[in-house]
Amino acid sequence: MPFETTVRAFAAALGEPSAPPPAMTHGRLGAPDARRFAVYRNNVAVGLIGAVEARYPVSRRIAGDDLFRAMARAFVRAHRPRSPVMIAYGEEFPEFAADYLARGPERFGRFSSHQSSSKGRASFGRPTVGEDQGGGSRGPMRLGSRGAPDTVLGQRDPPRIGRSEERPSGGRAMPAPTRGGGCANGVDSAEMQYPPACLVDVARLENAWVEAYHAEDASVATVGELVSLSPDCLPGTRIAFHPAARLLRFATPAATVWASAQVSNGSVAPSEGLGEDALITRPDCDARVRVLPPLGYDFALKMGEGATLIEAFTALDDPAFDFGTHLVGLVESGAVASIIHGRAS
Amino acid sequence: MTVADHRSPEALGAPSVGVGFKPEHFDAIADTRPELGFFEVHAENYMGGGGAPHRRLDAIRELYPLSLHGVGLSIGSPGPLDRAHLQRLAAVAKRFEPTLVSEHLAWSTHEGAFLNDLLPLPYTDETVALVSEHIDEVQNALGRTMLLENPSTYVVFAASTWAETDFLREIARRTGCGLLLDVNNVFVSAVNHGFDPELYLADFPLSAVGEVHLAGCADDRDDAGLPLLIDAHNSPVRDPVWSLYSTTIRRLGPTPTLIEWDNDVPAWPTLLGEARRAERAIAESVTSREHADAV
Repeated sequence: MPFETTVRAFAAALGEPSAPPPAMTHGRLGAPDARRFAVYRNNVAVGLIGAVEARYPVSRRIAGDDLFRAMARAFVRAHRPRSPVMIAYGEEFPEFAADYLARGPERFGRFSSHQSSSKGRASFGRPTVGEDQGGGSRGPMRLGSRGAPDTVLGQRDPPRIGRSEERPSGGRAMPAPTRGGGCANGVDSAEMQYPPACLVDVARLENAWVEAYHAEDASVATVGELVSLSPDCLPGTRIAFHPAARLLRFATPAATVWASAQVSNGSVAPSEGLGEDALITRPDCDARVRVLPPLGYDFALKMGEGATLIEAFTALDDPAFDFGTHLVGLVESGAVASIIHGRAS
Repeated sequence: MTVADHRSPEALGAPSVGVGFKPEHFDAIADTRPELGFFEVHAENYMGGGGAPHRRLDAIRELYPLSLHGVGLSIGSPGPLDRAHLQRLAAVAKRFEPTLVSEHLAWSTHEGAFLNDLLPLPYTDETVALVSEHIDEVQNALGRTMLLENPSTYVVFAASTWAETDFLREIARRTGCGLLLDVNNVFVSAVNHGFDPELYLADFPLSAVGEVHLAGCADDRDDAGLPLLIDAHNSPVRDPVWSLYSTTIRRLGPTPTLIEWDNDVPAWPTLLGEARRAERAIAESVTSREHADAV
């Protein structure tokens, strides 16, 4: 039997839990041995499910072990890693979980060929909103009103990633959340204490956090550079975001829920509340999550698209918008790699 | 290709015992700076863009020699190597300048899907040629020789026509690569397949060995109720493995030796204790060699 045929049969049996062990593999008695082959099958499944669990510890906590494991098992069947670099594995899980929770586990049978819709990856957030059309009067642009407009929410230990080499210490001993809340559609509400939308948003936040954690290193712009800009240059000024910066818009208070779960032995915040816009930054080694003030997301999104300050201000169409405070906040958070001076008008 | 002396003890300085680096041990290592021969890391964990993992490994690398252990190259795959992954491995090797680079006699990728396990291959004329070609390619890309690790296995292939030791010897001969002798893997496979590990080691091409691995394993049973050991890397090195190590290191001479503990990672002093035990075994082997020479 050509080696390629052997490997194909071996790989097929790995993905088929009820299949007999491949005929060409033997145990000590010179015959195929199911328990021996199951070691390989188990290693594959446990390794991949473990990688998903490690990437989404808070999602797992609020979903409960049983529901999360069922989702992770369905996910690893549908999404084999396409690269040996496991620190990138599991990034499609939030969208898969959204689909799973909406449609129910019966749609994700053992040998389902389901693939969740893969979203294009942008290094900067999810540019799906913020398409305001500018217009109206513009207030004077000003800079220098110090003070961060956003709240630093939390910082956690390094995530549990990879072949356990990147496994951190803290954060495991977390209490189970109280029961309550409901969830529509696919998954029985008794299985989960948080609405599916909140769980999915927390998973999106966790995924972005891991991306930020592993992003390329880069220097960050300082507020000093900002205040040294000549006022004439300001309207045409652009910014380049740091490779780790991630911008997220949630319909749920996902950032508050996530942050509350970073405190060891603390209870996870309830899921009631307004949606939140979040900014993740990692200017040095520590990835941090901030909740942005109103319009902060829209402003950062515009600037992330390459707009000049005047273009972003125009697009926001709010004369009261204090772009100076927002810009200082972005720079202080470490989200900005460089400030690209505009030409003096 | 000239055959390097993979055993040169000064390659990693003395004492030449190392441990697998885990981030949770970083503070203890940085605070106490224990005397250790080297640290080893899985190459794939440092293939991200940057951030804390790179920063920690930079700090470790400033204090200790480094051994880079790949777990994802799938050298035993039938198809061509994943060139992009080989380039990533070369980039990590360039950045962190390890003293040793090693990979496994196994396959882990099939039709573009990474299976996250080290899977076995039959030992045939076809696979000895295939693996040798892949190792040539790896060594060309890295610009250095690599070490190939003997596997632990749970099944054998009816199609195999080579003994594992002969297979490894032939690959080392064809490619000039060194070998990473995992003594726990020998013990696990010996129990699983019912052979004598001493005879396996007596037949192992020791002159090509550039590094030794020691690790813990777990107990299971096969369909026939026979003992089946799992290469779990989750516990202390077992006494029979220490015993095999003592015999082997006496024949090998001092050789860089790694304590591998990847799952249920213990507190730092426990891991360091395992390393100290390996150092004592090396010291005793040197004494007994000197004694033998003097007699």
